[in-house]
Amino acid sequence: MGKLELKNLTFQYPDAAAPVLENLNLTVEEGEFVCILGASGCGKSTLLSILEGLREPTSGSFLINGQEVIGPGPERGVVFQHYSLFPWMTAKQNVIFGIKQVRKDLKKKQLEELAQSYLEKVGLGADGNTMPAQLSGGMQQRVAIARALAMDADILLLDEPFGAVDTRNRRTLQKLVCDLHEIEKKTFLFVTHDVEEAILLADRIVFMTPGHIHQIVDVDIPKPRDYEQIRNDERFVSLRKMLIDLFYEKYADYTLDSMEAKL
Amino acid sequence: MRIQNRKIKPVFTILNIPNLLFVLLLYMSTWPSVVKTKPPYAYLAVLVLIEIYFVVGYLVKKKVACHDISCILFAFFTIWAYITKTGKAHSLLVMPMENVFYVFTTHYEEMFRGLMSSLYLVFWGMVSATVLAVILGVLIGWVTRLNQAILPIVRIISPIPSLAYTTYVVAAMPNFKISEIVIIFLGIFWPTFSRVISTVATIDKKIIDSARVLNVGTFTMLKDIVYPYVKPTVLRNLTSSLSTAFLCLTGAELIGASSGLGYFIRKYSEYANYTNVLAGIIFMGVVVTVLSFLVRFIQNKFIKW
Repeated sequence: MGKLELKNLTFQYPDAAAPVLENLNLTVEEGEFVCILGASGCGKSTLLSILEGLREPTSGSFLINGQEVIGPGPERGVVFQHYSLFPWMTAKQNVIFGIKQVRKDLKKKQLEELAQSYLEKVGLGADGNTMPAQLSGGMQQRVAIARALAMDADILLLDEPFGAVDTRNRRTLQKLVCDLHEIEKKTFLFVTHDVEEAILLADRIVFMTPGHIHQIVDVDIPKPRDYEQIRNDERFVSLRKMLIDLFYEKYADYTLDSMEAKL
Repeated sequence: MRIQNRKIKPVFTILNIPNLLFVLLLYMSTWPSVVKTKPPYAYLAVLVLIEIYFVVGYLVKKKVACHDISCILFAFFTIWAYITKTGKAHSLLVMPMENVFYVFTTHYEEMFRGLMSSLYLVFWGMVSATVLAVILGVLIGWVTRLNQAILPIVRIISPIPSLAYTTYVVAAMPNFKISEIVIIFLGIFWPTFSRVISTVATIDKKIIDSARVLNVGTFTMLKDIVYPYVKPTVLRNLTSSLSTAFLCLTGAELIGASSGLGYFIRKYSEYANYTNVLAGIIFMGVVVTVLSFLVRFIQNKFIKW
């Protein structure tokens, strides 16, 4: 079960003039893959940090399976943009640490096996004993994904997880996330500023303008999607054009430089 | 690396400064001395040890530093021997090195007993101070309100050298062992405690956030996140803790004790037996060096990131 609802969610810093997020309403169905798309500073990461339980909304609420939620919880797994592994633990110890917080009943051996199986799912079966500092950025994010999945949360929150990964690795990681979503049948909420990434991954794209949800776009390209195959697909091209136009229109007062960096 | 792998010309494998000085020193040890000289065996053994260090380090392993270090040591001994043999200095203060090293063969039992009692005090002082500083530091560093109240006070106390309250502690404590442990404890505890608190404050918020989203409780947060984070700092701090411990120890033993490395030095300086004093100082240097190696070994083993 992983249905997520936002009801009139508003967030404002105590001494700020305007809210960062204003009256957001959104329902994400169980098992759905939703991308939140917007330029930096539109509040999408703030929104996610509320969903992660690291910030409290100023007003309004968010519900998981109809229950109002405050603070972090075991039903949500998180992958941050920054590399969030604990540097003093090996890759496997990181995953085990995550599992231990939700499964107090498991013995050491069972923890090891479970962690190993999740590391294999993200393609790092042989790197369990490596320290994070010895892993590349992309590999660290794989471990972070394994850790989030291993906690067996119903909802996975991913905050620009591949923002700091180079293009080629990003494609592989996107494919991995796509596959994991197919296999795990969990609700995925994925924040990104990359239009192509959003189209490639999402069932629905939530386009944000600063503080608001501007438009929700359905992506009706059949899954699984392969970037090389769909990049010339007519639906992909037109959707991409539409979203980029939307970017230019809604973020017209952004300088062109920062716009291009975002796209 | 270029210098270290430099080829040594065949002539210089035998004709080099350390070797020449070594031969010179052996020759000088046969000179008649102005003051009464003890049997030179221990002294010669030390010279041979340095020569072995030089041969293995420079001629076999080709480390230039070994060449230079043995040069400095041999040069020191040469000058010292020249001064004593020719009677150019006060014989009570600058005595033949033969006599100094001879002390090790006659007083080794007393020195060893002193070493044991000093190590006992240093060990318990360091362990109790470090453990308590880490536990309290992690706890107080984590709770903002406690931290803001206590850190300014710690900042005032921690720079006071523990030698300053040595006499007071010696007077206040029931026996000398306890007062020495207390002095070492105070010397190490405050700096370590303040270091731990400020390290806790520097933990990256991202690390804390990623722990929070894993639903960790406060106890787990302190035990599995904050403590491992400050551990390398504490281990690196052990080096300075060790020298602080010896500073406190010597300071305290100079005031009053019945055994110990510092006591050995004080006792013989009261008799104006500076030969033994010098031997005690050399012995302490060796002990601290060995302990530093031990600390470095512990650091390398436990600092993983």
